[in-house]
Amino acid sequence: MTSLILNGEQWTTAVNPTTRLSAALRESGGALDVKEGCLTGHCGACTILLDGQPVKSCLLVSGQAEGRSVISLKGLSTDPVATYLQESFSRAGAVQCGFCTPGMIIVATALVKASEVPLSRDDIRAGLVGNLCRCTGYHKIVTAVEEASYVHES
Amino acid sequence: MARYQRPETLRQALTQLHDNPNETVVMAGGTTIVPFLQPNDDETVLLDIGRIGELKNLICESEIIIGSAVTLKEFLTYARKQENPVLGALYEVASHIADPTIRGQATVGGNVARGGELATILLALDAEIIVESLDGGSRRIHLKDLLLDPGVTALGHPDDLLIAIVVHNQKYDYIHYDKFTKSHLASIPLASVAVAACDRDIRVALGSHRLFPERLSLVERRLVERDLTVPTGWGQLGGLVDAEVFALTDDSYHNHIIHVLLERALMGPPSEVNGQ
Amino acid sequence: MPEVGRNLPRKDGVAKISGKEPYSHDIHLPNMLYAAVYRSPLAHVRIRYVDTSGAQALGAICLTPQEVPDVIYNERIVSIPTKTYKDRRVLPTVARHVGEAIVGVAAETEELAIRALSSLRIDFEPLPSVLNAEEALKPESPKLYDRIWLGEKPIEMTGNIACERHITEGDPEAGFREADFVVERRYTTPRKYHGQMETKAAVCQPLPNGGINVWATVQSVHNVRQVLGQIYGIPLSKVNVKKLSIGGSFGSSIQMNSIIPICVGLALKSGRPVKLISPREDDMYDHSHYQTEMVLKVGVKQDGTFTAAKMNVIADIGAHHIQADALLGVMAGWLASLYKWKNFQFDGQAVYTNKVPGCALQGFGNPLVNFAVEQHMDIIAEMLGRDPVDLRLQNYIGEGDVFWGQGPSIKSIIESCGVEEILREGSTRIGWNQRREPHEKSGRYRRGIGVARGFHTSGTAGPKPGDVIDFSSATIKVNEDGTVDILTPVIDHGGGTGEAIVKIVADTLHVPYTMVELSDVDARTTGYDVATHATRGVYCGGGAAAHVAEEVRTQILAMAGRILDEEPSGLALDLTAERGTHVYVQSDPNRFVSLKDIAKTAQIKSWGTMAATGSYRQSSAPPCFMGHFVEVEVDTETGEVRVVRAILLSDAGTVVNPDLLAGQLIGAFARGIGFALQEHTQTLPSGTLNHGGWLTDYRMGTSCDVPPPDAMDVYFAHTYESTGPFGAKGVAEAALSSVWSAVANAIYNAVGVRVYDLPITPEVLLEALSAPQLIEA
Repeated sequence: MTSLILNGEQWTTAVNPTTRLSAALRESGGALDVKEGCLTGHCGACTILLDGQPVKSCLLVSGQAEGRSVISLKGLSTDPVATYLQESFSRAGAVQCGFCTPGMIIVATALVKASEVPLSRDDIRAGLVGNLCRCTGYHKIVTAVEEASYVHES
Repeated sequence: MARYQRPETLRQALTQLHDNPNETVVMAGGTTIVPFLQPNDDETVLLDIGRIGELKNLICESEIIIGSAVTLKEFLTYARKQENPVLGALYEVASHIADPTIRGQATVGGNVARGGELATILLALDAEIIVESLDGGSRRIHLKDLLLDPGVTALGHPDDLLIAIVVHNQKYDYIHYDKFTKSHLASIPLASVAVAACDRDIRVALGSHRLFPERLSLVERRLVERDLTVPTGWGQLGGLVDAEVFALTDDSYHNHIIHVLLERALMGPPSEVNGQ
Repeated sequence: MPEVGRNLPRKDGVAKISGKEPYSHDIHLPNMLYAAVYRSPLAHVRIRYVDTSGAQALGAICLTPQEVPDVIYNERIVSIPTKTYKDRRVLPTVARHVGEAIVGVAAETEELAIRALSSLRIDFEPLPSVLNAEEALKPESPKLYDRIWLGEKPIEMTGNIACERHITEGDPEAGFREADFVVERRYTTPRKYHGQMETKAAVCQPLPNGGINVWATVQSVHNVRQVLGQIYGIPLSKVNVKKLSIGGSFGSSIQMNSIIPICVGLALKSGRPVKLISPREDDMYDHSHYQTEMVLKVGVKQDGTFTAAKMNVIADIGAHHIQADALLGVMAGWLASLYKWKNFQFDGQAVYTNKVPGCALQGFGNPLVNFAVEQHMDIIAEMLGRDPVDLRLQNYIGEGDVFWGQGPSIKSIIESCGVEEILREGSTRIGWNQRREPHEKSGRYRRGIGVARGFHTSGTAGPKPGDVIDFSSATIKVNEDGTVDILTPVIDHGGGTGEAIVKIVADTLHVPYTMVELSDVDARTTGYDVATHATRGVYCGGGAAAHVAEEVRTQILAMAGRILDEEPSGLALDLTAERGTHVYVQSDPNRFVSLKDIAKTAQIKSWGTMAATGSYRQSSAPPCFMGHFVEVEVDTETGEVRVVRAILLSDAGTVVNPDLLAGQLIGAFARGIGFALQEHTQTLPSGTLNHGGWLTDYRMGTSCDVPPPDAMDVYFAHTYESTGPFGAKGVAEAALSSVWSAVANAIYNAVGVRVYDLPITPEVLLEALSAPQLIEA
């Protein structure tokens, strides 16, 4: 039994506490916006916010999230930075197949919020290094985050 | 399925380790443990020490103490605020380990215990670790005496728990760390070299993706014997370095990269202190 | 203002950016079982007996080789039946590579399914294996097959040659005798992994009538439907395959994925829905790109004209035959269609080995041939003292020439060609004139500029039917409020094919983009489409949609004629801000009726729905041309290569989605430099992969590995392909075709060392740098 706050609401799941968190979120929590691409922590598609910190939910067991806040992309639907990023991703053509997109937007949201000044392109590239995208070559993702960062700071 | 325990206190953790030393796998961040969990493993007890307050210390006085369950991100946030060259050097290393999401989860203790990049720089800084067990109490061990082989450490008791890393907060003339990674996705470098020097006290450590980090004692001795202050000239070190380094690996490219890193480390600009 | 050519939001954009777009991983049915697959630990092994009692005791349903239909099939239906080789079953009695699926299990949870896998007891008889093509060709080598099938015809195997192709045009021997110089080199390309972000998955729901519904990772709903119907003996009317978004593909799902029929078999056996998601490791053991060795020989005269070209290819296809015959055909075609060789010979062999099966990867055989030819062009240019760009301009195959990139049975005359524009614009942008020779460079870091050009076909159609099936279908209807539904079987891999089809229909019907939507469809509700492959989505799929939209337009005019009491021939369809979509009387433009009113009237008066369904085969397979100008920096101390600048130039005809086209060019470039410099799936002597299915060791490019955004510049040539919808051609695979060739040529320009084997890793380059260099040619 594991209890945590999923997207702002108390959630209790009967899954084993050593079940990987991403599986618990998808199968029991209905959080299908958490994508699983590798289960080894390399692709970043399963990135969530754990107490506000972006982490890869395939690298955590559910027990580690006990009592903590877990936010998947749909939990950011009213977050102004995430919402702006979603728009800038769409506008910039940063979405192709879309499988990496939820994890990218989660990481980008934390990245933009953590900085007090507009992020440089190099900052953004370094910030996204744990999230793989095979379609876009990252270029349009980086420019979408750059735009959001600029708007956020100004 | 493995079982899961998350003690609130150090004593609870030590007790679990003491009572079931063989079945217990200690995890803090879990980044290197969770992917390997097998559904048909019903024996293992995962001991999650990630939330034990006593393992979250961050102190910068005459000694720098970093709790083993401090995440890399927590360490970076702390080190950034301190105007301390040793912390600055550690910051530089930690800020390039893996990626931001991993750094938010992985811990300093996990990185050191697995011979990760922090272990390489900490060897050069002649760090100690604090371990504790229910029977043996709290003890200090030099890091260089701890790391034996990949996965094998010289912890005296099977129920020893890594509590903290201790670094002497001393002045260095030269601190250098450099690594070679084949791509950014491969977070484990092919090789890394750390050098810390203060007067005639010169420490050179080598990390590598296949080998546990270790001090290059022959190189260190050679530098001291020839009265060479670091950074010095690679050419002046002669074949002794080759002899020591070539013994490490039979992969010629790997050897070459180790040479390149050592060369850079020992020929860097005199005033260089890598840090913030 | 037409919608074609504008940057408009993706139709699936909102769903994708909010994480709501369902992929096959996300299909969840009530009462569903979770499946996992036991895969061969050995490279070649006979399965004598599978003891499933332990797994059954855990409550798992098992599917063994003895229980699957004894049907031999090819998982890719694209060639006509008589040209389709068949060698595999759903689960084999002899596993022919490490990682080949042997047993499927399904249980209540994923964890239980994995637990059940470890309870299986399998009696193996290890067989000798062969892990490289050269060995496999030796008569004494172990044989993978006793018999395979070509269509309905059995082929008794005497060795490991899966198929061969020998194609000659003109008199190559005479051509070589005529040459002033003959240049011959050997090039190799490795096995590599697609790295699509979504691993392959399938969900199958058995139906009470004996039929099945399938949600899976596919590039074609129709081919998967047909192969499943054939294997399980279910009429196609009871097999439905749903169209879903795919989390990247790059060719990896061009065939029906091997896990789909396993999932279906488990669902049929258990009578319950079953979900099977490949872990990443399984996925890496499921598919690979072909490994090739190419020996290219070219005869050239002092004036730079060619007299003959000859290529020998050995393709290591791994353990199964997924269209290797077509691979060899297109390799011949790419070679023949790049430059005017005059005389031409191609000899190719596809060889079975006990390795992961090879399948298409963006470009099929095209980038492979390009790696040889485009380096050869630079070698010849240097030998003749010619500028590499000039030599290409002198000899390229362009407007008015015959193009047969997709193989000898698919020929068309080139009508639109942007090669010259691409080469000239690229030269200007990269500063080609300032390019210095390798011997003028020194120091640890050396920079070099390289060029390569390539192309891909747009589809595989043509005036006559060939060996490859190519047509597409669409259903288009006007709803009662004047909005439009499109039912297209064409799958969008993410590049924007769907948006392109919407724009093409919108402009044909003069309806705004916002009023046209793509319907959720499946194999049951759409006409046939061969697959989203061969860069055919926009040109063929969009072509079919345009064709059907024309029929709908005719119906709109007829209905409007009844309302306006005019002959349809005197009416015209238009879109204006004031009137929206409307039909007006050409002789009296003030008389008009809006599409909305036409549609509503047609309903109220019971005239019927304005809708059409149809299929269409394009009359050509026009090349979309590509050019890459690349600047690299080589660290001569470590052998590392960094791409510092790149100009990516495409000729896609009319550009339908400018931003998405740029995105495809940049994305393909990023993958291309990965393939050029680091990606490689090596097979160890045990038959296992050296990286064991871990992404870390495969080293796909991250945001920090690809060149920064400022380093890349994109250019679209100004051409119009009159056979294509609104002048459009394809682009997808072309975008990758010449990346690694340009990188290799740039490395040569930087350090004067040519590397003939991919990938050009730091180890390889450093070794080449330290080896004494032979003078070229």
